[in-house]
Amino acid sequence: MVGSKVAIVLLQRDGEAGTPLVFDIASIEKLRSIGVAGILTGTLPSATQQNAFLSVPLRLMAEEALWLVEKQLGYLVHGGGVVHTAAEAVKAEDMKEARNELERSFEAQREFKRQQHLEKLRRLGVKAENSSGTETDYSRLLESSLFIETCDSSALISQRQREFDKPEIQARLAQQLRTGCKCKGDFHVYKALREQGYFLSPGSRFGGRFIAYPGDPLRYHSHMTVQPAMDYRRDPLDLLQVVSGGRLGTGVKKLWVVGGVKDDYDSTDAESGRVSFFSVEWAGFG
Amino acid sequence: MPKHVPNAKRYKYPLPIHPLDQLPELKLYNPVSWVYWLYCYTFSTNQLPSKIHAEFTHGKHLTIARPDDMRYLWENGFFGTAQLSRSEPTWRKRTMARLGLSEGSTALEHITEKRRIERLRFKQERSQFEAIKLDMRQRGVAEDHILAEERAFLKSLREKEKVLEEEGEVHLREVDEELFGPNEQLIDIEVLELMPVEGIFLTFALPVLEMNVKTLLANLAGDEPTYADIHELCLKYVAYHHYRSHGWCARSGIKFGCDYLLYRRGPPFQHAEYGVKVLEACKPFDTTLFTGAARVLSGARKPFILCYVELQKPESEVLESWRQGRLDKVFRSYKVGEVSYRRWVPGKNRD
Amino acid sequence: MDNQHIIKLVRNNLVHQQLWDDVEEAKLEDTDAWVLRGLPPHKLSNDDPQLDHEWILPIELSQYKPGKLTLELMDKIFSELKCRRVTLGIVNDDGTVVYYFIYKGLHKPKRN
Repeated sequence: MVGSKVAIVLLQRDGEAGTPLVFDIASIEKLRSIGVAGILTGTLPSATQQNAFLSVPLRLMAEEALWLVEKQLGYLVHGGGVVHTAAEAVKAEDMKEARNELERSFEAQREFKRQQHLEKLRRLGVKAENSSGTETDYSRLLESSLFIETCDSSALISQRQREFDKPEIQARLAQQLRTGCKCKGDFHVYKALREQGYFLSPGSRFGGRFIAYPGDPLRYHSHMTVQPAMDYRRDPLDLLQVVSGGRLGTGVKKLWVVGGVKDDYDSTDAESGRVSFFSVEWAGFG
Repeated sequence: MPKHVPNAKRYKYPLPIHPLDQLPELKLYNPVSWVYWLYCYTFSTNQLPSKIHAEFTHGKHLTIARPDDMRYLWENGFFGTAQLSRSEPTWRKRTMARLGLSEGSTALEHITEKRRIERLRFKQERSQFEAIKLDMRQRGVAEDHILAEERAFLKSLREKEKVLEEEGEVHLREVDEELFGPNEQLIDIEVLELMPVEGIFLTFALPVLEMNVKTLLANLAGDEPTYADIHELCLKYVAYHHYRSHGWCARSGIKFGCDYLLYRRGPPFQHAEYGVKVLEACKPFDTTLFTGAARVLSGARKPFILCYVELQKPESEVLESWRQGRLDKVFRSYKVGEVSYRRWVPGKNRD
Repeated sequence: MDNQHIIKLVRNNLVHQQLWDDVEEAKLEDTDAWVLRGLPPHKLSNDDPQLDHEWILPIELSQYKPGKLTLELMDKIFSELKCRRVTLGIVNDDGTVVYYFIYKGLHKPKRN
């Protein structure tokens, strides 16, 4: 069902993998309920340098976006394209209507503020003066305190977005996202861990490709740093990484996990057969 | 060696080659002392009386076996790591203590006698158990049951040993037998191992090891190396030489997932100050490869240095110099640049 | 896998530095890898039910060359040894041997 799918906006230039973003709050909630946490990246206009409280858009890892598309839980939208087509579809009367709508909102705000002002004067027992000078000051103050409400999501755009949910468009966008990925194997590692119920988030802070949580990251500690996928038969284990990874793990109580992907694996169902995992930790001596 | 030599005295010199500091006092009013001083100056040398013997063992491991040499390299710049200790060779001392040995001969004879008795007892108990095991097999007892019995037996042996240890008795394992030579003396089996870069430094940069440069290179990279075979080693050496010649004591950083740890003076004085990762300039790399190391290091409060080494000559030229054993020309083809790396958190790094 | 030249090095380290007992060498059929089996002086992890023999795979870390241990090889070693974990005995070129547990599959980190 198209309506319940999550729109994932892909911001990309030609030849680039692009950045998958989700702008809609309801969609973000839904993603979380199915085990995709993502990272909130939008900052606050009034405090641009902090990163403790972030807002929409939610940024997804490429693997997450591809997985959502594959599971029919989401669809990709060409970010630049959708804004252009939506903007082109705007007619003069739409603009006029929008301006009228804004003016109506201003009038309502003015009315509300005037009421409040009078109420306050009455409470203080001051008689409303009708001297024209103060009146002008007051209305200037009033005008500067009016808010322009910006919507969380655009009705115009969300309508257009659904037009992208066609198999051939999805295949093309997914392909573009996939070719821009660092490593194809990572997607298999992602899927195999998802199948086992793990929440995954980016792991570069901890020296890995992913961090795996046994449940929602707000409720559980992660206990695995997952390494970039290896080719099961060809790639040698990087022992220097084992040493530093294992040592890091003992400090932050995370296991260093590596998955080998079999590229000749034909079955299309379970990923767990395709990826062979190993966990490493410092033995505590030597 | 007398006990409690102060560190400042024991580790007086930062490198195995010393300056000429044994010259006699120069008395300006006494012309004879001028002559004597000049004589001493002309005929002293800072060459080692004899170079240190090193050899390759277990494949590519460059090792020093003589206890005096091991100590000399450790005390003069902290070169190498003793294979059975954390860094400084202490195995012999530890083992003597563990086995209750002292240099005096009576204690040694005493331990030898006790060792014989203990060994005899162990053999008896083992053969008794072997008999029980055989009997169980013949009676068709399940294999995992036998295994459990064996475990219980080993455990009981261990407990008996513990009791002995608690009574202050020295425990001698059967395998400790191999540590004694025909004259019942403890054999020092520990050797000091040098990293390949240390081997090059102590041969090419300082004339310390009794080893020919060509032999060294052939052992490190093979007889007919390609440039790819020597590339990594050259990068790592250039960085190593860079830090050593700026007065740092550089030691292996493997435990921290980086290439080198830099000490202001050396491990007995203070912790390492920096961790260094050697990277090839102009070559893209995956940042996840060093965020792990950076985190381990920042956990230990050590800044992380990315040391970029750049090749400035054609590879073929460098390879040709390598083949000729002209290491000066090889290493002169590289340039070093450094960047310090730190994780930055906007919320925490405001001040 | 060619690790015979370092088997003695790791064996000596286990016996004479780490003070393990009962250390034996063995060669695996399938992979030609040499392994060690021995008894540590005490339990290595709080999660181990009891003190037991461990399998050790000696392996060399060279900072100048890529390694040889693929995950396929690791799978083969696990299937031949039929054990819970293998301890990697990593021989560095700086004179140290360091030990790391490797478990098949996803494992829970040990309690400290």
